[in-house]
Amino acid sequence: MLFFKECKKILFSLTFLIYIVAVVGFYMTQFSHDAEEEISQPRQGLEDYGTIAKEVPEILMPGAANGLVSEYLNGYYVAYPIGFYKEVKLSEKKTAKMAEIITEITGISKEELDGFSDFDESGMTMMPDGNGGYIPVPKEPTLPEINIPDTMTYERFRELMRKADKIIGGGSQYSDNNIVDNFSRVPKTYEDALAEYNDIFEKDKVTGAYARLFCDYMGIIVSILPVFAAAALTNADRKSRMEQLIYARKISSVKLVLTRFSALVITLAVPVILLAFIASFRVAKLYPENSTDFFAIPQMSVGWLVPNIMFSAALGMAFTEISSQLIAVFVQGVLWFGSIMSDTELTGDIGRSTLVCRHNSLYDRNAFMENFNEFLFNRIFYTVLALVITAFTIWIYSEKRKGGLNVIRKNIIGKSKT
Amino acid sequence: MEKIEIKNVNKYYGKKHALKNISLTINQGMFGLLGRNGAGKTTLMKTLAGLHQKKSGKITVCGIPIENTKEIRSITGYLPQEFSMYPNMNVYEALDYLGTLSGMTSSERKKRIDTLLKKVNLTEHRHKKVKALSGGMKRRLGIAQALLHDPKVLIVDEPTAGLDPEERIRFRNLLTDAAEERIVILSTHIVGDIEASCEDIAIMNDGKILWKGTVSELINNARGKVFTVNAPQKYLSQIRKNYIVTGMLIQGEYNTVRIISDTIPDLQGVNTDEPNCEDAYMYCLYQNGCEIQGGDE
Repeated sequence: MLFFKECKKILFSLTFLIYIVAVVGFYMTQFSHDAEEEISQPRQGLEDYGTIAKEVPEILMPGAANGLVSEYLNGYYVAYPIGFYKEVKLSEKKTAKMAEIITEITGISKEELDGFSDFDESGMTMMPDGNGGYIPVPKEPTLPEINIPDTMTYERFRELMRKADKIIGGGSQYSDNNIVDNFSRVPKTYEDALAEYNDIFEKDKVTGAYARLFCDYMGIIVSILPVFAAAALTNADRKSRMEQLIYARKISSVKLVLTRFSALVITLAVPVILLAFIASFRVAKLYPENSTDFFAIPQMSVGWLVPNIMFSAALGMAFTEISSQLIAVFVQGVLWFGSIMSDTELTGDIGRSTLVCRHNSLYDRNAFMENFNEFLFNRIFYTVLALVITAFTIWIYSEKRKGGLNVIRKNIIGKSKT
Repeated sequence: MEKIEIKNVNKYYGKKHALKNISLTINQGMFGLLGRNGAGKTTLMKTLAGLHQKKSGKITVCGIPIENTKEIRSITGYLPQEFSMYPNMNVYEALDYLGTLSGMTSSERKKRIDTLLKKVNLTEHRHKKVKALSGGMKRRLGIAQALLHDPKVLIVDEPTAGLDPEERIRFRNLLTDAAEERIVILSTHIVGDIEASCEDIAIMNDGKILWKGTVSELINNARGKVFTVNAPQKYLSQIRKNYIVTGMLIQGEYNTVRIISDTIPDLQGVNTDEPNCEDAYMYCLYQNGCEIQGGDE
């Protein structure tokens, strides 16, 4: 069966060996230590238990008003209309409408807003360090004084925020989905922390918390390494000068590309799932008194990590097919690096298009659950994207078999023969 | 109907007109496609194997339109000019893999691979890694893979290039055996391969078919146009300048020079000679106005 033959090709390749060493190495150095650490109950009397999103009008209204004025003065609005980061610039007409909203919620007129010159959203300034020297510190943006009129009801305020979101085009910080999380955060109390702790034991069955941490660590590595295996497998025909022999066979391009893609995903996912079982076993041993869910870590690995493997493999196949191994690795590397280095927080801050989802904690369950729908969207999005890219690869492969894309390829890397 | 029909086929690579109004009928048996490097042979071979698309014209392979690539691929075996296989697979595994891609069942593959390995004399090397095979062995493995799914048409592109004389003869014999029950198209620039194994041939140059017919017709075409003369060394460069020289045999102070010409050369002691296939091929190129560099130093 072709599937097993493709799996065998991958399993006996150098890139797979490197993948195994890297994945196991990452598990040992990053997660292994945490798997020995028990989740501790929050202690009473601590100063800080973190924050939690809670709808408090007195906090939300000034926060959101500040945000809106700040973005108005800045000249653009951050939004995620279909999950992707976008800086929205408004037309004059829409800017006037936005100014009307700001005037209603703050009393500041459009003329005052437009005439405000002290605003500096970014940059650094030198401040005395207390020892006679100066150190660079980020400038605090200076905003006009905002006073929400007493007559402004919370309902009216939210209605105006919905309007503002609509003007921006949806997906802004002021949308119903985002406004509480963005502008109404309150410090967690001991009771909140204790409830979260109890949830970890009752709802997560302990292993759920370890599953998030396991996937956080392994997600870093499985978001980049599969591209090497995919590029090597795809390039093997070219490197072995076997392309023409394969092109001339009866097999359809759909069957061949899909079989290779499935073989890649399965062979690269299995070691991670096996490690997930090992992790489950170790966690279960750590909590002999508790009822743990033995399958929580493997299950979450499938939902969290397999989309990354699929995406990286699909991208590796597509770019290698259309250009070269090097380009494939470079493109995936750029995406991976961009995601890793983005300024999202390490716990629960999962956007709809974040490639490497992070939750680097055994705690903060609520932060993760608050974004769970975003997380689901994100994983489905990458799965679908991987399948779309694979469909594109099938088309490319099919065209190459008919000699159709050789000219393009020749122009791109100047290697192909016609 | 076991034949390939090519009618007014044109193919372009960007602006380059690679196949110019090609028309050919190829029947069962060995068919030789002769031409210089860059004449368009590989392009025509790839087009027949469904690996290139033509711009215009019509091709049917055993009654199947060339556009029906899946069916064409199932009845065609192709051995490209330059090929290899996964270096870490052994001979059996490589054939088994390609057989799978041809849609053969496990038992079909086993039976057919055993038969073919015997035929190409590689049975004892079945567990040898592809990277450890010699050039000749690789070529034989190549022909085995092309015959694996028992195709009705076998297309081989420059298969003997780089082989030693013994391997070349062995390879030609393999092709001749294969041609007993199928169409075999042999593309080459080596005249000896065509002369030894093909009856029907076509000569290509610059994307065009210059000549088609049998080898004996080609030779007949050159009859009375081949001459030999014994000339001293000092006259050789003058002879090369004025005539198409297809061969020279050094015999002491004199050289026996083989010349192609439409008229009797104005040389002392010139004799008419029987043309061989190489002379006939060169004459065909000369007759069609192709620039021939063989005569110049």
